This record gives sequence, structure tokens and C-alpha cells, in this order.
Amino acid sequence: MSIRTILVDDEKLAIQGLELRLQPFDDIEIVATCHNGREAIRKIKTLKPDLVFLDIQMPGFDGFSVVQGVMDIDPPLFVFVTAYSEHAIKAFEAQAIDYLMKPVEPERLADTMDRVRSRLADKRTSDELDRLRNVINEVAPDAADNLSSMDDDLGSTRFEKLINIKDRGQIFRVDVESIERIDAAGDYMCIYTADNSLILRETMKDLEKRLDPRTFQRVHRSTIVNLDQVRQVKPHTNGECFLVLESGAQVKVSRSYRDVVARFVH
Amino acid sequence: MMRLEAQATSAQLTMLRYQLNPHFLFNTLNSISTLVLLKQTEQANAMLSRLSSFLRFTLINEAAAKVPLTQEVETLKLYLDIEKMRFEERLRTYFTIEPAVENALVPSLLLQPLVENAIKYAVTPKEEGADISVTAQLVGQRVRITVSDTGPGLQPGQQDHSLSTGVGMANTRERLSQAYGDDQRFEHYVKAGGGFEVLLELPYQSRIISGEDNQTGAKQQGKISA
Repeated sequence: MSIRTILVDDEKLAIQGLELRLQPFDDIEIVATCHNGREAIRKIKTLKPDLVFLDIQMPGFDGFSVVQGVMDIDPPLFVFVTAYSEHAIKAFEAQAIDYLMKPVEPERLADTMDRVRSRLADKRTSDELDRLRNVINEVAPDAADNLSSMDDDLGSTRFEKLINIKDRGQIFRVDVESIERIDAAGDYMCIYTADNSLILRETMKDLEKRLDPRTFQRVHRSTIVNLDQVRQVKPHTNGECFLVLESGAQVKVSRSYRDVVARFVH
Repeated sequence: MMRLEAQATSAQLTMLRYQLNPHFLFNTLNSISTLVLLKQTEQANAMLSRLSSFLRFTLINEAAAKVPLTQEVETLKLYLDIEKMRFEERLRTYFTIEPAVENALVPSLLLQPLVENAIKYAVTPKEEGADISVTAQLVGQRVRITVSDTGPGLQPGQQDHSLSTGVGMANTRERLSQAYGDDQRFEHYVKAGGGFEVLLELPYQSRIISGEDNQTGAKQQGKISA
């Protein structure tokens, strides 16, 4: 399935550069190129692309304003492309799926495209389910109940069984079931298995979407645990508690997540 | 005491030295890399040559050095030619330098931050771009230089270009007062027809008049012809 893409940069050469660098990706279909933010907002709204490569410094509306400007439609995925890193944090806050530096390296761009594909696959599955559900709700309300249980079955195949983690120059393929817990540290995720810990550059929100919520549960603002590896629940003060995991590690459950604990200990 | 003062002054000057804008550098490298991919080698090479010359002037520039105005203008043109490659017809430049001031000495890269500000605040934000004009003339025994643009002028909430750039106009102002004490003028305003203008005046010095500057000037001059 092709990925309908718009490129936005006020520099013609920069657009040409991106076009060239995207050529090797057969699934990319460039549907428009825009030279300023105003044009970008208009094209995104009319062409409804899957993906937008967006420069930050532009005349009129800058990259952030473009993201703001299209929030009233189902927004595409945004990849920010900029010359210098000072906007990186703001870009991720604007829900960018990635942030690239000019000149864009081919390998780095391949990483971005992997992310884009996996996110689009998620999005298309859930869009398709929503669409089906709406249709069935209209024509056969009884069947809608059956569909929701099918949804669960579909759900389990939607999540990844193996995650690729690039760390210290190597790629580790980690069996999701072997993950004991995940800690957030800034823009990075520390992933702990029984005998290893690895670092992945991804936001917690993105990572959470790739993991089956029936096994992986957020128990704290910055911690996700594998519920299958919880061996003990130790109450603490203030409604907080600690989970003791298979490896003996202890993880704090904050008050706002205590219902979660209640759900699986009962 | 005198030595301490001299050290302090030298430290201040070092801090005020022109700092290369990383945005400019990486955007330029991106353009060159794209030209290479497009196999437009002559253009890529032209851009590399300009960038090298510009870096040579900016990276080895000594904070206290004074250079003839012609050299200062040459450096500005190198920079603007590189930016024209990116902005194309959106960036239009005009230089009006009176022959009488061509050899006048000015602190090196004094005007560079002003031109960079004009790119940032006048050319970048407008879809149709902007004009940037640099003029220099002799007024009595003084050199009057203006850098102006046809941008939106000062935006509401943006009191001063220098506030948002930190090392922009404040830098130029400081370097002027370091070099000439009170014997200089620095003004900026929104022009009647719109656009922003910076005006500076400094005493006319040439390589023949001043002793120490003479040497620096000659050295720098040598670099150009070399």
C-alpha cells in the first residue's frame, strides 16, 4: 500500500534533496510539494496525505503552526526536518513521529520509514475496524456484539512479538514476553529483561501502542510492567504500592494507577 | 591594574567575536549535498568555494581586528551569495558603497550579525522575501553605514531584534563602543515606509593614518589577494 506523502520546505533545493533521498522507498508516493506553511495547510486538508515531511523555519506559518492548523482534520503523521537540533523537544511535543536533521542520512531515513509503516499499519487496522463496526451497528446491531469479541482476537495479533532495539551499535531482537519492565528516561526507554537492559529511542506513548495492553500495563508515569511477571503486591502508604517482579526488582505503583493493580490481583 | 584591564577587555572582545550560525552552516551543507546528488557539480563546487572563503574569514577572524570596508563588504557578499542559492528570488541585495570610504577601517564582521538578522526577520518570514540594502558614505570625517530591509519591521511583542538573537545587534553595538568609546553612533528604527534599518557612524580611519591597525589591515588585505 502506498504512503501518500507531502513535502514542505521553503527551499527548492531542500525539497529536491528530500525527493531524491526518498526515491529508494517504493511505497512513498509524493502527492504534493509545498514552499510555505499556508500552502501546506491547504494541501494537507484537501489531499489528506498519510505522511508529511515538514521544515520548521518557514515564512508565514512555521512548521509548528502547520501542525496546529490541521488539527481539526484527522492529522497525518509528521516528520520534522530541520538544519539544527534546537527544536527537537518542541517537535516531539507536537506529536511528531520523528525528527530528522539536514542533510538527511539514508540509514536514518530508513529507520523513520520503518516507524511510519508500523504506525500506519496500526492506524489502518483500527480505522478499518471502526468503519466495519459503524456499518454493522447500522445494518445489524446484534452482530455488533460478536464483532467486539472478534476485535479482541484481532487485537492480539496486532501487537508486535519481537521488538528491534538498536543499542551500542547492535540490533537486538527482543521477545516481547521476556520484557520485565520498561522505564522512561527523557526521550529514551530502558527495557529490562531477566538478564539484560537495553535502551530504545522512542516515546512512552509510541511504545505503549506497540505492546498488548492486556500484558503490558502502565503503573507509573514513567514505568510499564509486564503483568505476567508480577509475583507479589506489597501495599505502601497513601494508596501507593510496590510490585515485586520475577527478577526480584520492585516497582512502585502510583496512586493514579492503583485501580490497575486492583484489576489483576482480584 | 592596566594588565587586568587589558585582559578583561580582551576577554570581552573574544566573547563578542562573531559566532557562526549553525542553521546557516547545516542548511548550506544540505544544499551542497543535494547538488552533488543531482550531479550539478559545478554549482556544488561554486557553493563549496564560497563557503570555504566565508569560513576562512569568520573562523580566523580576530576579535580586535579592523579591516577595510571593501573586505567587510566582500565577506557579506559571500554570505549573501550562499543564502541566495537557498532563497533564490526571495532574497534581493543592494550595495551602495562610496569610493571615498572603501578603504575605511571597520571592526571585522561588524555588519555580519545585522545582515543575518535581516535574513531571519525580513526574508525568512515573508513568502515574497525582502530586499536587503547596505550603504556606506563619508559624512565629514565620519563613515556612515546603514543596513536596511523591506521586512515587516518590528513585530508586536518583539521589542528589539537584539532581544531575540542575543548575540545580534547588542553585539554590534558593544563592539562599536569597545573600538571607539563614545566616538560612534548606533541607531535602529522602523523606516517610514516599513522595514527595519540600522544606522552606524564611526570615525574615518584608514590604513595610512592608524599605526597598529595599519598592520592588521595590511595582513588581512594580504589574505584577500593571496
